[in-house]
Amino acid sequence: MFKLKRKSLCLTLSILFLVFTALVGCSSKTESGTDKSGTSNGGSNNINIVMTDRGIQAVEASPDIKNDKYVKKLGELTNTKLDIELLSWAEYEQNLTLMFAGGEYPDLMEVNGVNSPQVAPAIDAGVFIPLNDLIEEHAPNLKKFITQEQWDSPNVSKDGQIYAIPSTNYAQNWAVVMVRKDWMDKLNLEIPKTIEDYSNMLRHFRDDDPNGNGKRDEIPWSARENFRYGEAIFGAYDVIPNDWKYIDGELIPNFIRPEMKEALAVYKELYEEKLLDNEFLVQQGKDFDAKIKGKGNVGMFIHDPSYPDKWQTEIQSNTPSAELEVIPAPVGPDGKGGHTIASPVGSMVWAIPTTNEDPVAAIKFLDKFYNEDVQTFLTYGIEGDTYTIDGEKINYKYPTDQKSIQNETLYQNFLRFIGPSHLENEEFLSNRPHGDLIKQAIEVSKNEGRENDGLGMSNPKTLLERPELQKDGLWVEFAAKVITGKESLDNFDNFVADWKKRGGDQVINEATEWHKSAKK
Amino acid sequence: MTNIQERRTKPIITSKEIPLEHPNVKMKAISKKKNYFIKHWPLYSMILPGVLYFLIFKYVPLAGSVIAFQDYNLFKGIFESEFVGFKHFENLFTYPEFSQIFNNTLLISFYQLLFGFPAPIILALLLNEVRKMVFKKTVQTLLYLPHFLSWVIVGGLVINILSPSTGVINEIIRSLGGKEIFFMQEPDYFRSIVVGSGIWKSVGWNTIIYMAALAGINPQLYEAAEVDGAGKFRQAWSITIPLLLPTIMVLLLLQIGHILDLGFEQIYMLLNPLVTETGEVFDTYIYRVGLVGGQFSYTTAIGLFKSVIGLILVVGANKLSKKMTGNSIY
Repeated sequence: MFKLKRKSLCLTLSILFLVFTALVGCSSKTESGTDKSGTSNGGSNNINIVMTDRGIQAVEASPDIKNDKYVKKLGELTNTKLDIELLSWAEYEQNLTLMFAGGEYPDLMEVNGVNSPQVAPAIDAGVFIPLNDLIEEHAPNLKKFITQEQWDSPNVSKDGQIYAIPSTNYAQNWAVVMVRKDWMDKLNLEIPKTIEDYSNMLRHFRDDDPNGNGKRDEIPWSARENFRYGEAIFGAYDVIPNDWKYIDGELIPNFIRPEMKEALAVYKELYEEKLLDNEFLVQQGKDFDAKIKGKGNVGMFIHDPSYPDKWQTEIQSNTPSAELEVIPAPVGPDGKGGHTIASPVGSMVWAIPTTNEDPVAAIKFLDKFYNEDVQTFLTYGIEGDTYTIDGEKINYKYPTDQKSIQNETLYQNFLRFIGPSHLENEEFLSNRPHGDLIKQAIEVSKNEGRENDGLGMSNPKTLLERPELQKDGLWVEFAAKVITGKESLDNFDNFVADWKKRGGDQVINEATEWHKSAKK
Repeated sequence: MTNIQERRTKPIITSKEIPLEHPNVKMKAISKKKNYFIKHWPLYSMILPGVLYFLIFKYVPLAGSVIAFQDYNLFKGIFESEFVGFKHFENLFTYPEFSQIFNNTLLISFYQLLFGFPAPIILALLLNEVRKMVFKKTVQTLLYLPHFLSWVIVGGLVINILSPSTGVINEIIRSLGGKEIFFMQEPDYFRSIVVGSGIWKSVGWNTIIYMAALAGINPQLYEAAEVDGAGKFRQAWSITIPLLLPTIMVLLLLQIGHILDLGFEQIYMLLNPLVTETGEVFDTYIYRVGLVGGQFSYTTAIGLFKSVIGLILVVGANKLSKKMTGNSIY
C-alpha cells in the first residue's frame, strides 16, 4: 500500500511538474518577447509600430525587419527606438480586424483610412486619439507641409476631428498605359488615341510578329482578374467600375450606368479577337508579371506610374531589346480617358491609439519625417552605402541589379511613412537611368483621369451586409460571362434591374445620403 | 477532513452494508464516491489536462455562438451588443443564392464522399498486394508527398497544368488537333477539378490508416483461404474487406459529420468569378462576407447552421450504421 502510494505520488508530482513547466514556459516566452523589443535598436524614445509590409518583396523577405540597417538608420535619425511589427499586405484587412478583436494596440498604427469598414467603428469606439491639439502644439512640420485639403480628407478626419496623419499620394492617378516601344518602332506604329486606334495597334501586335520569333505567341494586352490593371476602356467611357457618379440627384455606381454596356461590348470584342489576354479573368499577379517580365511577349499593360523604370529594367533582364513607353490612355466619345483620380491622401494613414501613454513622442516622430536629413535618407539611403557626398552634391549609386532595386524600395517606399515622394525630387529623377520614363509617366498621368464622385466614401452599410452587390460580386460575374460569350450583353438591363431589386436601390439611397452630407 | 479520518479508521463501506432507509444514506453515498476519487486521485488528475483542453478550447468558445443572435460589434463585445433574434438566419435563408451555395456544398461533398472516400481504400488494397518491399515503400513515400504541400502551392500547380496557353493538358489536346479548353473558366469542370485535385493531394496520406488495419489481419486467414483454393480476388472480397469494414465505417461516419465543411483553402484558391455558380460553397461565402466584409454575426449564423446540419447527419448516419453493420462511433 505504501509502495503504491509513493509511486502514485511520484507520478502526480511529475505531472504537476510538467503542467507547471508548461505554464512557466508560456509566460517566460511572452516575457522574453517584450524584453527583446525593448532593446531592439538605438535611440531614446521607444515606439512600437504596427504597419503593413505593403507587399514589398525586400520587406517580406527580410528575416528580422527590426534590425534591418535602414530601419536602424531611421531610428537613429529620429532619435527613436523603432519596434516594427508587420501585417501582411495581402491579408491586411483580416489582420487589422483580428488586431481590433484582440484589443491590444501599438503606439503608432498604420490604418487604411479612418473611414474604412474596419477602422470606422474603432473611431466611434474611441480607440484612437483625436490629434488636433497634439499637432498644434508639437508638430510644426506637419502643420506647415500638409495641406488643408489633405487634412479635410475623410481618410483622416471625421466631424472636424483629425484622427490620423495623412501620407501624401503623389501620383493621384494610379495607373497609366505602358506599351513596348521597340514593338511599335519595329511595326512603324503611331501612338494610338481612340479605342479604334488602340484596337488597330493591338491587332498589329497580334499579327505582325513584333518579337520576331516567327510564332504568333504575342499577347497584345494583358490584365489581371477582376479587371485589375485592365480598366482603360472603362476609363474611356467614364465608367471605372469601382467609382461613382452623381447624376440627377443620385450617387450611382458606375457599373450599372448605360455607358457600361458600351464599354463591355468593346471588351467582348477585344477578348474574342484575342487582343486582350484570354486568361486575364483568372490571372493572378505573379502570372501577369511572369508574362510581361519573364516571357516578354506582352505588348501593352497598365500599371503604377511611379516606377515604369523598374518594369523596363526587369523586362530587359530577359528581353534585352525591350523598351517601354508610357502613352495616354484611350479616349472615349467625350475625348477624354484615363484611370480613376484618387485622393491627395494616400490610402494608408497613421493613427495613434488611446493606449499610447506618450502620444507626444509618436507625433514628434512623424513630424521628423519632414526634416532634411530624414528626407535625404528616404530618397538616397545611407551615406557611404548607397550614396557619397561630393562637396554639396549627392552622388547616388542608382541601382542596376535586381537586389539593389529591391533594396531601394526599403527606404524609398517602405520607410516613407509620410511626406513628399522621392519622385517629386527633380534632381533625383533627372540623374536616374530611365528617369525620363518616370517623368513621362507622371506627365501622362497628370493630364488624364476620371473623377470619382464617391471619393472618400466608405462602403454604404448595405454593401457591407450584401457584398455580392459590390463590384467584385454580381457585376464581375456578369461582366466575365458577357466577355467570354456565356451571356448576352442584351441582358445588361436585366442585370441592372436585378441588382437594384436585390438591395441596390438601398445602396444608391445610402450613397446619395452620404453625398448630400459630404458635399454641402 | 472527517472523510480522511473515516477512511483511516474504517474499511470502505459498500452500499450493501447500509440500510437504504438510513437517514444518512445520501451523505454516505456521496462520501463513498468521494472516497473513491480520493483514493485514486492521482489517476483522476491525469484526465485533467484533457478535460481542461476541451473545456477551454472547445466548450467555452461555443458560448461565443451567441453572437449569431446579436448585431455583434467588435468594440462593444458580446455583453453589450444588441440582440436581434433570428434576423441573420432569415437573411441567410432569403439570400437569393442560398440554394445555389447549399447545392454546391452538398454536391462537392457528395462527390468527395463518392470518389474521394473509396480512393484510399482501393489504393491501400492495391499496395497491400505489392510483394517487392522496396517498390512498395518508394511508391508509398511518393504518394504521401502531396499531403505536405499547402493548397496555395497545389492550387497554383493545378491552374498551371490546366492553363490554356502553357498547361500540359492543353498541350496534349492541341497536339491531337483539338482546340484548347479553358478549364478554370468553365463552370462544368469546376467540381471535377476540385474533387480530382483533392484526391491527388490526400489519397496517399489517407491510406496510412487502412494500411495499418490491413497489417493487423491475421495471415493465417489467407493461408487457410489459399488451401481452400481461393484466388486473390476472392481473398480480398471475403477476408480483407469484411475485416476492414469497421475501420471504413468509423471513418465514413466521421467524414459525414463534416459534409458541409469542404476545406476553405482549396476552393478559395481555385475559385474565380466565372465559376461561382458551381463553385461557391459556405466556407468561401463566409470568408467573403465575414472576414472581408466584417459581418461577424451573419457568418456565425451560417457556421451554426452548418454545424446543426452536420450534427443531424452524423447522428442519423451513426444510427443507420449501428442497425446495418453493428459499427458505430459511440
